[in-house]
Amino acid sequence: MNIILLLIGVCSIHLSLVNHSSAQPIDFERVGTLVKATKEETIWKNKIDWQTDLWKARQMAAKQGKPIFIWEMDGHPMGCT
Amino acid sequence: MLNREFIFSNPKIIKWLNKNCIAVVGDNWYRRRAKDEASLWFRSVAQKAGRGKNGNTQQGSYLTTSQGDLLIFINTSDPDRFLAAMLKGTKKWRQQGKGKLNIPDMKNPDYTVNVRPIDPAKDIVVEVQSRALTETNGKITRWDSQGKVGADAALGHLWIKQSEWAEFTKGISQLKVGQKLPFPKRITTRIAKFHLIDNTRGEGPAWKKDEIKTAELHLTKTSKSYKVVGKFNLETKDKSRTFSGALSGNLVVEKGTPARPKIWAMTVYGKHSGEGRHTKNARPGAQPLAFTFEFLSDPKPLDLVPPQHMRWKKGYWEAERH
Repeated sequence: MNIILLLIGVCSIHLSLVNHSSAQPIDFERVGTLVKATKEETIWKNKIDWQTDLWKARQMAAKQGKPIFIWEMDGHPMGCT
Repeated sequence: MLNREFIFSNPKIIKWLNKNCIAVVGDNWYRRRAKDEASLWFRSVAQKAGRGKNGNTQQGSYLTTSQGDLLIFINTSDPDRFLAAMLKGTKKWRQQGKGKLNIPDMKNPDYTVNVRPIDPAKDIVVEVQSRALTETNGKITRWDSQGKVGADAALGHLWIKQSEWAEFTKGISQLKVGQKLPFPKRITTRIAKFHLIDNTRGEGPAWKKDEIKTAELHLTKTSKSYKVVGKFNLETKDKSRTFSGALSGNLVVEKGTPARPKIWAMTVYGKHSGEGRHTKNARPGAQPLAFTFEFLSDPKPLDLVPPQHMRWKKGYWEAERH
């Protein structure tokens, strides 16, 4: 029941603001759905067992007898863009 | 970041990485400045690849032993070249033997440069996504980039300290239905300056204090939750970069003090024009750009990557002052 009331509330909010360029209400719920990444767009993030702590990764690699693969970018690949 | 699509979404590469390596990802901006043991160790590896001379970037892909012997370095978005290089590195690894090593815990995290980790059990971590959209006759759709960079969803994180949230929500339970409560200027400004940025083609520039023309955000008590509404107008002095948009969302809080979010989701839709130093090739004119903000109740390690503009820690945490 709570969830239904919340959804009704959210829908009414989502349609309440006006898109000034076209004078139509913005469907924020639809916009939110359009924005969010698809499964295909997040394969690089979700299908690889990434570590974010280099020292811990080094410790893991040393313990497991594996090499370390390091992906370094200017701007964190997991959160700047 | 073409590597995301062409390298790290490639099934062969994913399989190879997960089977053969410990894969780690990082922001080289910190790594080439910080004096913690991990950064110093990394720089010694990068030096072996001829990277980072005169303070230049060390970005790219490295395969190394835990002792710090470089096996291979490559900076490419070509999956075939990447995989060939990694296989060559693996061959070298096999020839060297698989010696194990005991590495003690790191003692110096260097928080003068590095970002002190947030505590997800107390502080607030919000996932921020953004995407370029198009609007035709009032109908909003995803931008069809026809192969150009910038159509994918971009990812970031908004951080709010427990103390900031507690201060904001201390009187929230006293609100009656229909009553409004503005968000603290610090949080509203942080959202505007550091998160309503066009990062769909790379690292988008933050807005400066005097570029915030309007930044309003408030919640209104409803019967079961709080609706959140806001509006933002941001523009550079010469109007070469602008954003104007509206925000709508909802907040449901847990019982208790502070009133930690149970659900906090917001969507921003607006028009953005212009580009930054690292975000060239923007679409002409003001074009639809939208954002989602979603509170993460149980963030995973990858969700705890600091906000991009945390490089200027004081500026981020004291957003309304600087």
